[in-house]
Formats: sequence, structure tokens, C-alpha cells
Amino acid sequence: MTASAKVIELRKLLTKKFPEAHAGTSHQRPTFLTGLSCLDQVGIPKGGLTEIVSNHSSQGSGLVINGLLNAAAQHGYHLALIDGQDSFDPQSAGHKACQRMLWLRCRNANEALKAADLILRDGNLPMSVLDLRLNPDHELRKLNKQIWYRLQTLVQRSQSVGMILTPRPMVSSATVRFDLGNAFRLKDLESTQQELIKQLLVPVTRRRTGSPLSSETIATGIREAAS
Amino acid sequence: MFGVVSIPHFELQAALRQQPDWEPSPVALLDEAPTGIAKSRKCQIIQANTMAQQRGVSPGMTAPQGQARCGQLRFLSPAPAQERIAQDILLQWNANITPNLEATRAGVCTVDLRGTPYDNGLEERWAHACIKALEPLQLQTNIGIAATPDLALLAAQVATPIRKITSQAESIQEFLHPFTLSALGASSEIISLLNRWGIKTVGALVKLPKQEVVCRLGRDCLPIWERAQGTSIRPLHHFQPRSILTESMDLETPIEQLESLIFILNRFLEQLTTRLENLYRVAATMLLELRFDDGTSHHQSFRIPEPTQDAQRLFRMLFTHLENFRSPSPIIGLSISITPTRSTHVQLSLFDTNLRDPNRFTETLSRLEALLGPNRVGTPVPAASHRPDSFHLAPFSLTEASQENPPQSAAPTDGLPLRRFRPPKPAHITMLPTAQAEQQMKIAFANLNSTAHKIVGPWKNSGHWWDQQHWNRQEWDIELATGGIYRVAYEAEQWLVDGVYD
Repeated sequence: MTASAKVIELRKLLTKKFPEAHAGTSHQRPTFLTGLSCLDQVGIPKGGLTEIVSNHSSQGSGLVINGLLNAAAQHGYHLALIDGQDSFDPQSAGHKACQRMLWLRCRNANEALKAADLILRDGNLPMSVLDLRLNPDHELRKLNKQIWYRLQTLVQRSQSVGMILTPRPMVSSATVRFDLGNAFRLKDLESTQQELIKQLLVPVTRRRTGSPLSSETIATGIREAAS
Repeated sequence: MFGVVSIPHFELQAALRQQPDWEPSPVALLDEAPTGIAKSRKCQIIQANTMAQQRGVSPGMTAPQGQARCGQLRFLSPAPAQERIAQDILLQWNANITPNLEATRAGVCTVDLRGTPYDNGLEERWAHACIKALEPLQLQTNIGIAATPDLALLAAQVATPIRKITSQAESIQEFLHPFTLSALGASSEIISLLNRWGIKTVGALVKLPKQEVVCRLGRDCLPIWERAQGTSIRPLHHFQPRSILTESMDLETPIEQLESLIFILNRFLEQLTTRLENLYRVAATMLLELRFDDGTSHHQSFRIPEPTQDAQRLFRMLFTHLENFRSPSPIIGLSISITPTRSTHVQLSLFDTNLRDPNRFTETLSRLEALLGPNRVGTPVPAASHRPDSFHLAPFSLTEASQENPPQSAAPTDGLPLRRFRPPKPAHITMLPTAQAEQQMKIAFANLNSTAHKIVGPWKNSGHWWDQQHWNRQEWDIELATGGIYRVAYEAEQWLVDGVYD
């Protein structure tokens, strides 16, 4: 039995033995259906921050953004893309995907966080994506860690979805953290985006929904991360 | 029945709208702006308000004469822009009642009340509503109601503030008899001729038989005689007032601080929202114009996502814009124009979602534009060009239908999306000689130094060869040995990395 399986077993035993101690944490947070099956299987929490970590190039972080944009256009909701390094390419996304997008073209991470603060404080848009994937490390290191808690409070107040794409785990208040596990190759440029989105591997590495992760979810996540 | 709304001392009242605090004091309107002591002595008073008249000031006096009679007398010069606005207010309110109205002259409006909800004995209700609506806009009105437009005009001249002449012949004659012939609009020649005959009032003219009057004075005198009878209904010259509501001001002292501007803007918005309320309309768009000392001007248009009458909401939009606005020279004039629209409730489609607070969202967008700068907030629309990274930002819209149609050349969405480096990063690229058919290149850009072991390309692309903006480039997609797929290009004898596929 692996260490993670032991932890899950212990949690199950404790929940069974002391159900009243876990009563406050047993409720599920409401989730937001993004339209991306890889994310919806786990559930994107409303009123919480979701971090998607992409350590290396060509892991599909842009694909996630395009998938969210397409889903927003399809399901009829608006979405704010706070582009930390002004790297979004509208031609790659296509006009239809961009129709329900508010694109905020920021020059650096600091500006992006100020813009995110304004958008989340406004609370009108159901989903905001903060893309810090391409921001240089020296910019990200300078960020005050308190900012993530402030953003978490704002998202919680408006019950919207805050999604942050980062090059390394850094959002301390994230409710759910995904770790992109793909390594796309040159031949993948010949596939359609729909096919590539289906191939996305987004194992969960952290979840604070209140209810403990099911053993299957963690096991799947660990297996996918290892692969 | 016809109604005539008359604004007494129209030019003075219009000019006074710029100085609402002066209202309880004696004020006189001069025939021109006094620019110096010597010139002010020559200025004549053309209108004086009631307080000034009670203190002995009357039109025709010079400015010093007026001040000699009333020490607290304040002077105003004519303000043509304010007169236009006051006239608009008068006509726009009445156009909301009926389209059958006439701009009789400056400060006078004739309204055909037949067929309106205020017909058949309810005319006085219209008159009270009109007075009540225009009073908060600093316009005092006198209203005359009668069976003919001309009679209603005469009634408005003697109204305090409402005078209704019933349709009975006796009451019409009783009302008309004391008026002099000039009230009928007769020419001075005819008046002097009639005066020589001993006919000095309307009552005396009415007693003359119609045929005899026409025989002796000609057919030109017939309309005057008919007007004196108070029974002829002349057709109105229909007038369509402007649909845009405007408040404007030219400042005597240039403004340099935001605080002073805010005070005026607040007052403007209060006036405009009162006008909107009177018209049962809401503001759809708002245009701010600032005129500067150096002759330049600044225009800013605000689209209001959820049309509103709320002055505070409109003010917040203006304030957010002006907070970060800097001008090279002081402001000497400003105006706000509002395009009114009907308040409608939009039924969204079943799966459409609306914003919780659209007005707050507009304010947030203004803040974001102030934070990020121009052309950095909006929705991307592809440009009609094959040039890479060609697009423009359209203002964010809540409805897809309002967006521009995409050009047919919109790129397909195959493969991994490109994340662009803006501007593209210059790179050092060396093609490595290999024994195999596949090419290899050594690439160095930013802090990355690697070898591309898989290369696809080149794709040749060019455009605008017919003008100065011609471009010509070759592109490759490369996969680095260290991982990562990039797009590199050779353009203008330079290697560039366009971005990373991610």
C-alpha cells in the first residue's frame, strides 16, 4: 500500500469514527461547469481560486484557455482573460471563441494582478482567467503572497470562478490545483484543437473543497502525474 | 384647444441658468458683454427680472443707471448657447405630449392639444404639469389656453401663470377688447391708419363689418380682422425638436482643477436626468466635450450598458474617466450630451446570462482602461489581413450581435494555440549541416540556447506588396531538443521568435 493510499484509508476511518467532527467539512462546494470535461470531472469550485500549473513549454496551457473560451461562447457566458504577458493570440483561438471574451492585455505580472483585483472586485463576470504562465520568474517572485488571499476573498464574495495559470505552484489560497501533464510534440500541430483538448492530462495535486478527495481521484492524479 | 407656453424674459432666464445661485437677487441682461468700465457704461439693459423691476430698473437704461437705482443689481450678458438649450427643453417636453407643436419664436411654443389626453377640459392639467416639469430646470413659464393658437398666445402674454379662455364668443370678445392692435400682429402702417380713424383697440376693430374692412384696407387686412374675432385657426408650422439632450457652459474663468469641474458636471447631470425623467426616457449614450484654452477639445463617448436616469451612476462614469485625465491647458468650456432611449427590458435567450450590475461593470472597464492604457481592453476582432498578429480591439459588448462580422480570412483553429511574444524576440539561428535529410538548427534567444531537432517549414507569406507597408516573411515551426515547440520567422533580414505553441 502506498503512502497516499494509507492517508486516504486513515481519513476514511476517522470520518467513520467521528462523523460529527467532519460534519462541517462534508458539504460540497458548488461547482462551475466549464465545458472542458478534464476539468469538469474534478469540478471547478465557484467562489474559489483554481490554479493550473504548467512547468514546461508546450504543455497545453494555451489549449486550456482556448477550450474555456470556446465553452464560454457555446454556453453563453462571458469570460475575462487577464493576460499577464500579452501573449494571447486571437488568430489561434478563432473569432467565435473570442466573442464573449474581455481581453485585458497587461505588460507585467503586477499590472495583471491589479487588473484581476478590479475584475474580481466587480464580480460581474462568472469566470476570470489570470494567465501568468509566461511571466518571467523575477516578476513572479516579487509578488506579495497576501495578494492570493485577497483574490480568494473577492472570488468568494462574488461566487465567481477565478482561474490562475502559473509556471510553478504559487497560489497559496488555491482551492484546487491542477498540474498539466502533457508534453506536446511537433506532430500534434496537425491535430485539431478539439482532439488535443481531449488528450489533456490535468491531474489534481491539491484540493480544498472541504470534502476529502476520493481515493480514485487522488490515485488517478498520482498515476497521471507519474506518467 | 391650443396651448401656448411662453418663457417671459427668455434671454435673461436662459442666461440665468448658468448662475442658479443668482436667482433670488435683482438681475439684468445687458445687450452685450461688458468688457471694460468704459464699455460697460454704454451697455443697455434689455431685460430685467421682477426683483430688479420692483427696484426701478427697466429695459432701456444703461448699466450705470440700473446700478444707481439698485446697488445689488447683477448683470448678465446674452448666452446664445443657453438660449438654444432652453428652447430645446421647452420643445422637447411638449413634443412628448404631441407631435403637433410649433416653435412660434424664441421662448414661445404653441401646442395643439386636440387628440391628446389633455383635451376636453383637461388642458389646465397639462399646464400645471408643464410648469412643474420646467421649474426644476430654472425656467419660469406663463401658459395660455384657448380655442385658437393666436388667442392662446395673447392669453399667455397676460397669464399669471395660467390663463384659459373658454370657447364661448362672449368670453373671447371680453378678453380681446382691451388689447391694442399691435397684439394682432398688424403692420405699423395699418395700425397708424386705424388709429387715425379712432380705432385703437381690438374691441373697436371687431365692431367693424368684415366686408367694409376688406373694401377699405384690402385683403391683407382680412387675417387681422379674423384674428380679432378670435375664431380663425391658423395652421401650425410643425417643428421636430432635437432628440439629443445637451447641457453646455462657456466659462468666464478657466478651470484647472478637477474639483471645480466636478461641481459643474454634477449640476449638468442633475439637469439632464430631470429632463430625462420628464420625457420618461433613460440615457443610452453620453458624450462629454471639454474645450481648452489653446483651442483644442477633448471628446469622450460613454455607452451606458443598462440605460439609466440615475445621475450618480452617470457621474461615476464621468469621474472614473476624468480621474486619470490630464490636459495641457485649462478648460474654458464644457458640454454633456445625452442620447435618450426608451427604458426597455431585454428578454435574453434561454441560455444567455446577463451581468449582475452592468453600470458597475462599465465603471470597472473605465478603470481598467485607465490602468492598462488605450487599446488594451476589449474583445479582439481579426483584421482583414493575412499578416500575422493582425487584429484590432473592439469595445467589450454584452451581445454577440453587436459585434463586427469577422473577415472571411479568419485563421483556422487547428493545432496548439500560439502564445505570442510581443514584440517578437530576436534570435540567433544557425542551420547545422547534417548527414540526414532532416534539417537541424541551433537557436539562441532570450536566455534559451538549444538545438531544434525537428523543423517544419518554411512557409512563405507576404502581403501589402502594393504599398509602403509591404511585408514578406518565412516561418518555421521547430521543436527543441530541450522541449517546447516554437515558431521562428525570417523577416527583414532578421531571425525572430514569434512565440511558443502551448
